Amino acid sequence: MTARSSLPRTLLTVALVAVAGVVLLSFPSWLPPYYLTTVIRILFYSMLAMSLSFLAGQGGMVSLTQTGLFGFAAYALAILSLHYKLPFPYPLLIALAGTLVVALAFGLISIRTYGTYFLILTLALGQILWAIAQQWTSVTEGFDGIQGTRAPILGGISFQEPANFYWVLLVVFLACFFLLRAVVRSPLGLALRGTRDSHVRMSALGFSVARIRLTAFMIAAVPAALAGTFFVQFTGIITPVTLDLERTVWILLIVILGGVGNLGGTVIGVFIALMFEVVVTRFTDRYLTAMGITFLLLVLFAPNGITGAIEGLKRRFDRRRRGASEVAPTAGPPGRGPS
Amino acid sequence: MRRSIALRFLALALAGLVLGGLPALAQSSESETFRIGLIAPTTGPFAAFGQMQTEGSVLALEQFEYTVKGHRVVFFIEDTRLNGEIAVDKSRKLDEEDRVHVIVGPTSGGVGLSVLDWARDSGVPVVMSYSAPEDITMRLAVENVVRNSWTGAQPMDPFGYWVASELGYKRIYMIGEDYSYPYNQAGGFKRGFCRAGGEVVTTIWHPVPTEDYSSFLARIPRTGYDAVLYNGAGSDAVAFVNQYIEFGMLDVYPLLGQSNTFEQGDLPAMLHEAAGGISAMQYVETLQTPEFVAFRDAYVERWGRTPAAAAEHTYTAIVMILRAVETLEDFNDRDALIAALRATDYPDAPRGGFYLDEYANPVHNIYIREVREVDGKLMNFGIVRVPEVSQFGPYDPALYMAQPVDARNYPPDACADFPPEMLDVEEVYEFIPMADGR
Repeated sequence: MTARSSLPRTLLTVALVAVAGVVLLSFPSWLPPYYLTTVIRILFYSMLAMSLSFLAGQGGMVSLTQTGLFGFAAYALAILSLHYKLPFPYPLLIALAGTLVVALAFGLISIRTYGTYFLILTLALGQILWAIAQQWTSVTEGFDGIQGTRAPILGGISFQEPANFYWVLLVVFLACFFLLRAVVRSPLGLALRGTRDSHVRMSALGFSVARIRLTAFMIAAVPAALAGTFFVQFTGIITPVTLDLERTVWILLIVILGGVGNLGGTVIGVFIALMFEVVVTRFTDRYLTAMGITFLLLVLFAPNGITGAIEGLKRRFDRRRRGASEVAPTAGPPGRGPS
Repeated sequence: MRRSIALRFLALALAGLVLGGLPALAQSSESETFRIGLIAPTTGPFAAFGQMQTEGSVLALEQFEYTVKGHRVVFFIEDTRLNGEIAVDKSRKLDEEDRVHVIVGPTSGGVGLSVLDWARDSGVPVVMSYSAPEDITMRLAVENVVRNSWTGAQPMDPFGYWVASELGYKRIYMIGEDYSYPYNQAGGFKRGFCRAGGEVVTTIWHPVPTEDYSSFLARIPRTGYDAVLYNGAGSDAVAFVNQYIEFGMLDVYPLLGQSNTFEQGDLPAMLHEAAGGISAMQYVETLQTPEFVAFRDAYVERWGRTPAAAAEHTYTAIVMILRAVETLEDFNDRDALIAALRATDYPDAPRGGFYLDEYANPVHNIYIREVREVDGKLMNFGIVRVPEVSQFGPYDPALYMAQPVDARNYPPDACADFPPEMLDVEEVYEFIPMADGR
């Protein structure tokens, strides 16, 4: 990269960010209401999926407990605000803190296991939360779930208005996105990838593998918990179905669809999955079949997810162009970046 | 790298733009159509209900030739997957994008309560055609939500009363599925049973689903009870009833069911000794009234199978909506539509005439039904008709709603522990024996 190209490049970046920012912020003013609803769902499910994508991609921890944490935060908020009638912001703060405590406990139990064992252990932990939601009827209302949670009205501004809700969610979403991205690029992220690739070597080098993994687990719990609180305040309801195995697997599929570990790809994965729900159901009841076939094709032809496929195409294109102009590459082949 | 992030966000934003263009393609251009949305589980384990609800709706719409007051009727179907969150999202879609005038449908209790919660804020008229939590038309009732089906307790209160007064049973052993619908069924049964002189309804709950009931069956005391009541439905009911028979329990106690234990769709999977099982519901598939026969024949001709309650309830929901629209000047006047729906009086409904009470739940016949074997096929036959049963049974609504919501451990098992005011009411039930299915 030469100095000559850096100024226009910066300008271009600024312009792109400005355009993207204006478009994203202006959604409520021109998007039809149901599509704003869909964008809101995309944002909170993206936060949940990013949580898993970060753990799986950076730390090799395929955690099936993230939906459990999401659901726990939602239940805690609903129970505290409806059954205990605590005023805002206490239900929100306690729900978030409580979820982190649960994440700490789950993390301490599971971080010493790797690979499939970690997956099965976190699956079990997540299903325990589901079973509690289903069967502790005096607190969680069991199968029927808890209805009636609402976003607060603060200083005359109603966050039950989809537009206001969306703007707050957008800010929190971007904060989570850049937080995770920052972690990925920090020394902690590097250490985390070290534990993913060889935890034995990492501990031989003197790193505390357990501490690194636990820290990552706790960091990943933050977007999952926040997503849960937005979810319950937007839909108004929380039922055990939200924590069940189907939802957990759905999130896992989304992460694989987007490309494991790729945060931007995860958002695209959620976008595609929800679009399947919204658009394909217009034409057929068999959208689950359609989704399944798409997934199958993807795994066959693009095992690194959509973003992986795009990067592969780009690489091939670059190589061909280089081959055509017969100029020796100035840099090594583009490695797979962390994000 | 920075540019690629910015590009990605731009892509996200552009995707939003594309997304915004889609509804323009899909939306019906006519503004003068009357639009109805059905939300039902058309995929997943409850898909059979969703299918019957769809078939019932389509039959009614075809009989109206998709026309009301000279306007075209447009019908939308959305899948809830029996998930409250998805049901709310689909309701939003039907309202915000398809601009439906009314929503029909939800199937299970949790989904119904979720849609009720959404309807409270959105104000969209909803006809609950198969969701039974009593609070939808009681403690949580809202103006724009009406129901044409039933509450869990509604068929069971007269059934409990009849079991104690006519069969003379005093002690019942009840095993049920551990969730709110069976709680409400148990509550209704206990209230009626205790008022008519019953003594005890011992209740045991099992998780949903359960395949093996041997431990539950082994625990039933072999003396000291008059009957066993199985308070569950679907695959649980098939497993329980068959194991009950195979364990030889029929020689010990007769078997009673809740409203859905002996569903016609599940009877073919039951052993033929299930004949004799007694239950109560507002629907019986072998009714011989002219209204029911006409409905059943039309349904069989259109869909090739006999209709179950879910089909009839959704059929009547569509009919009552279209009849309500016929009385209106302008169907875009939402308040008038809600008022017309709440004033529903449907004397020629296939299941038997019904009208809505002041909380917008139907007052209708309850049939006490017995499973019989005809030509090797198990079917429910009405043996007693109880006319004009309300969701409150014989109680004053205020008294009824002042009681706690039916739960795992409420009402109490022992009738002696009942609040006296719940036992001392004027009885209103009339038990009319049925002959030849009418």
